[in-house]
Amino acid sequence: MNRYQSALQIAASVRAGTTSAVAVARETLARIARHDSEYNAFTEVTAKRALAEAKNIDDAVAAGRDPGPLAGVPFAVKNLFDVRNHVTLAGSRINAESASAASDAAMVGRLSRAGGVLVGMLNMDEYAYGFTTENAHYGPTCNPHAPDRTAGGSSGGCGAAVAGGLVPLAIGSDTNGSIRVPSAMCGIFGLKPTYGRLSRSGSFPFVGSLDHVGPFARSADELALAYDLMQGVDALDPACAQRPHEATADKLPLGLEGLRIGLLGGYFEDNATEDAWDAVAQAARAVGAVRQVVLPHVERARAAAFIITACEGGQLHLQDLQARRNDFDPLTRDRLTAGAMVPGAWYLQAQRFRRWFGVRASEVFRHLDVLLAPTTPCSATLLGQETMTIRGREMAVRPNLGMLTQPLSFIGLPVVAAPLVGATALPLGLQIVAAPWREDLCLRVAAALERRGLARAWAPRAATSIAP
Amino acid sequence: MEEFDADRYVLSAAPALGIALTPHEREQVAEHMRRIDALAQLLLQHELTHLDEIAPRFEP
Repeated sequence: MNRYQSALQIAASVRAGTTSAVAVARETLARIARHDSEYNAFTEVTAKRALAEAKNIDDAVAAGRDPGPLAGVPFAVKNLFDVRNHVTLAGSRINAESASAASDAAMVGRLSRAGGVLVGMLNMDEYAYGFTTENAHYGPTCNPHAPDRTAGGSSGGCGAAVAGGLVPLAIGSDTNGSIRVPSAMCGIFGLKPTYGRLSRSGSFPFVGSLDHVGPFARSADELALAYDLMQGVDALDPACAQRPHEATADKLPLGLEGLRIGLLGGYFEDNATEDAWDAVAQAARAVGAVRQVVLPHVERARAAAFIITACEGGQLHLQDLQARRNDFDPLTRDRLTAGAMVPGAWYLQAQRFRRWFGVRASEVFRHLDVLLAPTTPCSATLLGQETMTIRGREMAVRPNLGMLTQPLSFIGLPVVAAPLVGATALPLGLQIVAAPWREDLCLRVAAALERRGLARAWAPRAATSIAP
Repeated sequence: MEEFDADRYVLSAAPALGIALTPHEREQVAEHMRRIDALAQLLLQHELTHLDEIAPRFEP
């Protein structure tokens, strides 16, 4: 099995009986054992479960039963998702003392029932509060394209595992950019769906008002496949929308036909390096986005998202901040403590502004179907790097890597992060944004960019010289 | 208007929340508070006079 064999290819081979799910699982487990020390993407490998699930798939194929659309496809999940009989770490030492989960998180269950084979859990910033996956308890996750650089965060393990070819699919979460930032920095695709589209039940929360879950993959069609299988109402997540299943995979061939595409300028240009902006502007021109759009008060949207995050995050962990301060990652602890102190008036103003900004943004979608923007201000920063310079302004790395993603998740818009093909030495990402519930449009544009050679998953430089 | 004093704010808020901070932690938390305050001031300058209440449940 090729290290970068797609989920679609694996499922087709297993369904056809040309390879077995057990063979795929064994190869995947061996690859993780051989290469994960380079990335530190996995915090736990579920070998026993993977082999048992794979055997069930092979038994189904042998018996002539439908093994599911993901037959034998290995996947891994950010370690904030419940996995039956395993402890849900959420990147923390404190949660490591919790009891094992009694059942799988909704998203884990859906992919498993579709034939997916869970191979393990992935590293993250403690409690998802960060953009760099520099975790004091479980170590930093390294970028497969440059081991001295961050894989992004907080779902950095997802980014590294997929970019490094350890698994074709992963599931992560995105509160302010935690799917999109690692996707951009690792040169792969990620989808943050509309707020409320996918169930979060069985995932450890960070900021209930802003938390989303979504898939990572190496192509738009794999992303659509996973997303379609993850959809469905769930009463266990009160934010989960009562919407019917809306398939996207079959819409990808529609391409750009009839789509009105705009480029988000202003704040999004001012807070991206020239390299990042030029790469996005070039892709925008190539797909016919001639109009530049400036959303009103984006900097305030970012500020409001920051405040809601700090406040809800701090409140969630208040008891542990009182009693177990030394068990936190220092990078997380002091930010959560400050968040717990946010005055109620600031928080409520942020929530009120959320509504205002959402209404203004929705007006843009009367005239345009899709908006494009850079995903991060720059490419992957060095591990341990404290500051970065964006258009002559020096700013802290950790709170600002998500400054271009935060305003969009703040109002729950669906976004695909697509890896741009360009002249830069490290990956840069493009955000493809649509109106609420129009994930299909984001995915169509991502697939069209791929077909035109403008977006493509990056292969790690070392991949050609190391064993599959 | 008197400028926000993050050090004093943290000093009084921490015991109100039952959080005991070392001097170093207090400095770090105050630094984060200053950053949050700057963002809050930006947000508070925006007049939302046409909105009297937040939505009971946010819908995108």
